Amino acid sequence: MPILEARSLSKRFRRPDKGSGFKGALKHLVQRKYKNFTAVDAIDLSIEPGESVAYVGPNGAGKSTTVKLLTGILQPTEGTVRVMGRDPHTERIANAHDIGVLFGQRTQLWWDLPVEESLKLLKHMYGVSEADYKARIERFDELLGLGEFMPALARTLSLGQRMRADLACALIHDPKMVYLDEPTIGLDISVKDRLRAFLRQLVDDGTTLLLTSHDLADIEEVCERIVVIDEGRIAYDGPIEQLKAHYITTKAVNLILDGPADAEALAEKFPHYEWSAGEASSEVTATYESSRFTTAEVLGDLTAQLAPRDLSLSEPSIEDVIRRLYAGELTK
Amino acid sequence: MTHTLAVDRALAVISLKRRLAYKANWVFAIILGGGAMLSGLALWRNLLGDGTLGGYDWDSMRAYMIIGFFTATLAFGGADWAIADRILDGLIAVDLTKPMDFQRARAAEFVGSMVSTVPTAVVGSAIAWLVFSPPAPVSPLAGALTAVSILFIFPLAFEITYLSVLVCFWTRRYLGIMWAREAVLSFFSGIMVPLALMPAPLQIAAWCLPFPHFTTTPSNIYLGRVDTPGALGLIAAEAAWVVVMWFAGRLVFNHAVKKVTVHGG
Amino acid sequence: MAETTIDIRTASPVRHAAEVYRRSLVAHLRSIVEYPADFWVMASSGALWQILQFAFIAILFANVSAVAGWGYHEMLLLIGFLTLTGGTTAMLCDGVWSIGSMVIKGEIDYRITRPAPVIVQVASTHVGMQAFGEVTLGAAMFVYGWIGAGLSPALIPVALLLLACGLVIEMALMTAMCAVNFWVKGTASIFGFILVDLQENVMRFPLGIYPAAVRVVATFVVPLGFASFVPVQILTSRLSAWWLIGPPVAAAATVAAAALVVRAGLRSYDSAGH
Repeated sequence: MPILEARSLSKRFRRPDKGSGFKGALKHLVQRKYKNFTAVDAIDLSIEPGESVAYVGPNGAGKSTTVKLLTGILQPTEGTVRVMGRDPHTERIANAHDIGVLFGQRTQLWWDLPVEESLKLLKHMYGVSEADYKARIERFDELLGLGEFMPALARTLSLGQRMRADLACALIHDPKMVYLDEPTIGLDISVKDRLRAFLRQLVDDGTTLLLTSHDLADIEEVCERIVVIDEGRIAYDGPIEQLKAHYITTKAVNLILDGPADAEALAEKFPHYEWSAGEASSEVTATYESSRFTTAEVLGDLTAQLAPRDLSLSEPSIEDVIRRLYAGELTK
Repeated sequence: MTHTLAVDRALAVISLKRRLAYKANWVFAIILGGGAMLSGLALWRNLLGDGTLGGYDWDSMRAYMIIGFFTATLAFGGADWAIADRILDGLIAVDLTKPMDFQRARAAEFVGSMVSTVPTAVVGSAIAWLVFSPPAPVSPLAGALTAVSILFIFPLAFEITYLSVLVCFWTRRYLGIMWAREAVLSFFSGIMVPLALMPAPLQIAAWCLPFPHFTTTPSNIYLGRVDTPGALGLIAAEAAWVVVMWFAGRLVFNHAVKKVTVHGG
Repeated sequence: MAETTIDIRTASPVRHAAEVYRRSLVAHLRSIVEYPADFWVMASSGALWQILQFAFIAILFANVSAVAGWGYHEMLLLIGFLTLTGGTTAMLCDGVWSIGSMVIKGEIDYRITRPAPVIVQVASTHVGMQAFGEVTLGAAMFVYGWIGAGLSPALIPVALLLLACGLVIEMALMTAMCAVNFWVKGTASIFGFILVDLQENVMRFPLGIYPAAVRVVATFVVPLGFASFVPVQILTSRLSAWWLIGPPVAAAATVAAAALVVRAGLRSYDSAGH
């Protein structure tokens, strides 16, 4: 039986259709015109226990709205959501014990209190036993380095610290179903790596995870399944490996050479890569098929023969993948 | 220093426009100020009957309460939080790098925001005027001098606000300071209760402060409780306070900035 | 402090909510110690307002002997009563003032995903520190008025009941007024301000000074009268003991009304940013 099941889930927002300024407001009072805006459009989604699902799409595609519908924050306009057999909106409190939620853009820490106090308040709110609480805090400290800022006031935390503390808040009651909305947004690389390792551990321990992110690395490292949403509809739902095999076929190396770079000459010299000129005259990009060459091979090849002054790697972003998803045919 | 009158005017206009954008403010100010005026009128109607208290009869008290509404609307209507937030959020560090005089810039903005309360004050007073028909000023000259004394409320309100907001350099929050200032201003201006009813020592204390000029001075001139030389004297006192507090503001500000730049905010 | 964890699956929801509320408030009270200067500025400004309020009454009664038939000590009882319930409200549910900003910033979201009533979580997010000054001075005025008016100590239980009812009415009305911000989007709780202003400017005088229409509205429509004026009249024997039924009924009615407003507000909540 799936732990989460959404059937033809839709959410339409009604926005007042009023002109600008005072005149518009007055007119709206009399006429009461509204515009409908469909954020989520008849989505079917089913998640089995223990699955880790990435939920991705461009800005405004309806990701956050879906998470809010699944967590019971919003009531669907149409369709149903069941989490462990319950409607999260009408059975809010019972559902709350089984779910953990993190919105990366906002904190759930009490702003004026030390981190430790926030966690203790949540401990009591969820009725976590003292022994469980201690064990979990110890584990969070080990994996997230929580201890160093436990006594600090929430508003004095750095973004990375805040996110780690928020993650602990979302998981303090050991929820079976966890929703993470942009958990690595704005973080630096080292904190991101730490968070991803933590999330992998969480998945390995059997927690069911739904994660939205703009960062392809988050998704690749943590999730097995990916659901792509665009304009409120599901565009792709399947294993991440399959998506990659289909749509992420190339990688690129950007080179800065000592002298002017001639893309055409290079294309003759290295015909198995695709070459394009960069912004500056000394910049040039080599694109290669990742199924044919490893990055190490390509780098070895190019650095040995061209001795570039500097180089960088680029991968298609999730936006590129989605673009290609639409350009090619939709396969499942 | 490239701070010119044009800069002041531009700042004042921006601040005024920002205020005018919040239409709810107008309704809000009318309800709050009007409610206080009406309850005050009910109280004094009941207390005065046909008699007088502290030299006020029911006629003159009606004028007093309407003048009080008008001046309080101006005095409490400025954008004090805008200055406090600059200091508390650390924006002041950016301000100090600009070729602008901090105090003058804030004064221009504050006065601009006060101007946004003028329609509220005028409309509210006009309605009250029609409903309660208070007596006219004792003479046309007294009326003109009342208007002059009310004009001084603009710089006075800014300076008192500014001096109190500067305390934010030493505290982390503004709310308590604002309440304390408003309490003192309400009491010693005579908005709460006319100064003439207070015991003599308290009256002397009040007149040693700038606060009576917010309500008592304009109403005294209007009602003829002071003669023309007396009225001019009160206006001179207002002018003196404007000058003294302007330089006091500079003094405190320089001291506060030294604290920030030397010890790090 | 002994750590007692109640098993929330078996405990009653009301007890659990009360526990969540208590712990949150206590945590905020403890955090005051972190910045004592803040506390003293706020508490002093609260005390200052009440000192000047007292001075106002004293000045008034130096010039007149009664306001609408009410003497000096009775007026102090009335103002003390108002200040006590108003100050305690700021201590116990000051968090409701942030409903407006929480709605705009989408901060209600997390609270919906937690197993406790949303309004309980919101109300306990802040403690109005000015209240410590207000309650101290309010209690002093009330006790001084009580002794001066020669009220019997036998009335103390009645006074406590009436204060409790007044507090409940004040908290419920404040919550309802601030919950208007579920619909009227803005960080400032304009309706909350209007309520405070009504209490401070209108209700601090005996209602006898107002036109009959105002008295009726302030007693039976917005039952502020039952939160201060009626109780003090009962204590000073201006009203018969039968009126004792009024405050509890008004308290129950305002709580029910506030619950309806909050529930409707949460239903219309659509979370910021989609």
